Amino acid sequence: VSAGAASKGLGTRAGQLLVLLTVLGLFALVHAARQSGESSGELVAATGLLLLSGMLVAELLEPLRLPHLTGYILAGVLAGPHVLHFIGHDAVKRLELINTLALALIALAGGLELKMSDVRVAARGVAFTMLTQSPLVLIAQGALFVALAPHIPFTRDLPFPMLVGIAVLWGVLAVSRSPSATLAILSQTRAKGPLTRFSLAFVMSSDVVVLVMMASALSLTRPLIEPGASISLEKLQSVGHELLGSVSLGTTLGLVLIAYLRLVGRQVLLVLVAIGFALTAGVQYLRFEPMLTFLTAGFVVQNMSSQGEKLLHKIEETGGVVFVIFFATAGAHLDLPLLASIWPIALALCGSRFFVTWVAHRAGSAWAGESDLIKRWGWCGLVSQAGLTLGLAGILARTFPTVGEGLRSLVIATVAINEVVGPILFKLGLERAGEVQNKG
Amino acid sequence: MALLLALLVVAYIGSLWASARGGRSFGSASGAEYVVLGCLLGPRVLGVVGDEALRSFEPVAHVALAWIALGYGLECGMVGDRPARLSRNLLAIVFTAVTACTAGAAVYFVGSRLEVEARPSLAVLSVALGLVSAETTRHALRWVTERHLVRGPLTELVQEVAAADDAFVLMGVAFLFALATGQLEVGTVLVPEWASAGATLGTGIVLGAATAWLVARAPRHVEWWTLLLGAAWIATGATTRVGLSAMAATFAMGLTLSVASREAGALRTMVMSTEGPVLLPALLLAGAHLTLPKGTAESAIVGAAVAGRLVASYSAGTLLASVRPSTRRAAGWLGLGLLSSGTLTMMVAFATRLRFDGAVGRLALLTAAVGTLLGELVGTFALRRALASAGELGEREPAPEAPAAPEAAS
Repeated sequence: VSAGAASKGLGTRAGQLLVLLTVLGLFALVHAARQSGESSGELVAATGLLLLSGMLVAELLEPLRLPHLTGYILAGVLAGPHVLHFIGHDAVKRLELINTLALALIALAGGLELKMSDVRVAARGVAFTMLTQSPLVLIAQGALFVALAPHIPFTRDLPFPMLVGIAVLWGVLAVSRSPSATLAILSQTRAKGPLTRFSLAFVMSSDVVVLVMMASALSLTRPLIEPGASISLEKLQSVGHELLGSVSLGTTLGLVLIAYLRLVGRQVLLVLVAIGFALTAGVQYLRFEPMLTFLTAGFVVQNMSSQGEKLLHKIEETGGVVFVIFFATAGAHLDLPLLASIWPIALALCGSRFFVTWVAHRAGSAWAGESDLIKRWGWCGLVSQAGLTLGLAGILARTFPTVGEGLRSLVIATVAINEVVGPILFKLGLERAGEVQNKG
Repeated sequence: MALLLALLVVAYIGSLWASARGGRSFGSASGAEYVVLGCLLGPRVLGVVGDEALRSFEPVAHVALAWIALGYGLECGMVGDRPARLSRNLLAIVFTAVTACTAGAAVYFVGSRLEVEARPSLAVLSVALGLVSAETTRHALRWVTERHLVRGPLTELVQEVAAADDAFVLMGVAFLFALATGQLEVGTVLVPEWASAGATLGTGIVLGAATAWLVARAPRHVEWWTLLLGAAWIATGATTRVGLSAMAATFAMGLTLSVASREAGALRTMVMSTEGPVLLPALLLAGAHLTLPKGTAESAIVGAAVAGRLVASYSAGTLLASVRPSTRRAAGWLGLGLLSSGTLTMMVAFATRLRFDGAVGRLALLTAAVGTLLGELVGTFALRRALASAGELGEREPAPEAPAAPEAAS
């Protein structure tokens, strides 16, 4: 965010709008032209368009006090396959490679933001809130899912045990949050203070909690969803392997990064890009969790060396590019026709999730004896959902082919709402808590 | 993925190599050693990198070439931090045009008398080979000035003339690619070649002006990167998709930024800090695409282009040095000194190779490589002699410990 945002007058906004329209006009011309060159040009142009239009839309939304992230998503929706069709489904799919890198850098930055001293301060509050949030959100969302089942196309005719199984999985998905959205808002606002500390520690640790919950839920619900199957601890075992493996690999990566920063210290970004691509591929091959691996690596660098700030500064330099591409691509990914077809259900599920998150947070923070500030605004950072939720929904679609696709569609629709509303709420909470350093 | 990583490793080595030399231009003046290395690793010699791998690199190569051209645009007409005189810029454009036309005419003359694969597109071949034979000595001069203490009217003259020699070549490339694309169908409208070439440059100018305006209103460097990358990738992707020259578009964008932005100096530093990591893999890839000529007719065409360049450069250099009494003694050497070509030649030839599948692309790259090697063997030495003859070459004092080089892409 530009420090001079407040001084940007009508002329500047008009100029930004003119540039945006010019770029879109140029794209319209290029799309009207017969393709006679390289098809790869389309992907390069799409990435450029997401970057430039993402930044411009974010700037244009500034007077409405909306977070930049919302602008990036909106730019993606606008340029994507459902509105202006400048970026096709194929290009969106191919942009996933860039997203891989973006997610690795975001997770690394997340780990670097977690200082042990801050974690210790926030630990009690986070633990108590997690203990209330996780079961309450799971139960409430699961129950609502069962209640709404007659109105959901893919659950209408399901037998009750199967419905309960899917409802439990839905409840676990509702517990998940978005570390990337949290970090994007913190990067924009440069917020500092107890709410920032709490939100960061909570969202990062909930990543691990959700993975364990999902593994447990998969083991327990399989007999309900697939008649004939029995409860198996195999999945739990594989999650244990996944978590331990990710933490081990992340620790190793962290130590390697410390050594590199101390001994060489040059071309850090190039090294990060190479590691981001290579290690993500390696981690996926080993079936570890990339987000957790990079998060651990960042945590190790921050807390086991004096190189944390240096590395964080380097990653922050790429922040503009990384966050714009990541969220604008997410916007282009949004399935608007699907959202249009099931929006009442999605809205009901999202609305109840907001409410339960708020209630659970109030209860948990009161139990932990948190300050009034955390009690009042702490829930705002817990609404966003994005990549992790979609990733888990993808796993469900593969595990239960009969109902998984329907479930995934519903997840996409609700994530679309939470992805837009969550960051707005979080920014609002940080502003009200007086922790925003950058007022843009 | 493995290939992408290999490229990143090369970029990393390149950037460390560049920074280890304390900001000196890497290796030889033209980076010819990387072209040779690429050729050795490529499918025609050792086969470490095969044809399929080279094809998979093409999208990355398009982006890299366009980014390099953005840097050329930002640096065009600049000698260090100051702009070169307009008269010298015009002189550079005239000299480059004359060299390109001479080499192109030689190719056309020889080609029209021989049986070659590119006979049907001889005009395009002549333009392509003319353009890759036209660049003069910016990198060679930089190479000399980094190693010797040079100061004087001839140095200044060559510096200023070499500062704008990219302009004609890169604008010519816009025309060359438009010729290859033919009439462009935009909806129901048929756009003629000359208008497509204009649109290529126009795209760069519009995006450059928009970026300059936005940069002035974005105080954080992080946002500048987003703007620069976004605009450059739009220019690259949009032109590449319709077969026009991405290098010409981003060059025009860089030039517009250089002229229109108050922050041009900072932007120049930002973009040039990425030169090592981007340029060296591009030179390697260019080398890997090199092929030998098919038969004596193609060899004759390459020879004609090089000979045309030799004649034009020698004449131009001699003329340039003869104007002033103080530099007259250097006339002969300067003529040969202008034979050096920099990385621009290889990059333009590489872009041409990617755009033209057949003889045009192959011969353009080969001509550039031959011209570069010849310039490397003769040009740098001759330039040093020219400056020494003019009494402008002294010994450089040992440099103090170089400060840490700026991070690439930081």
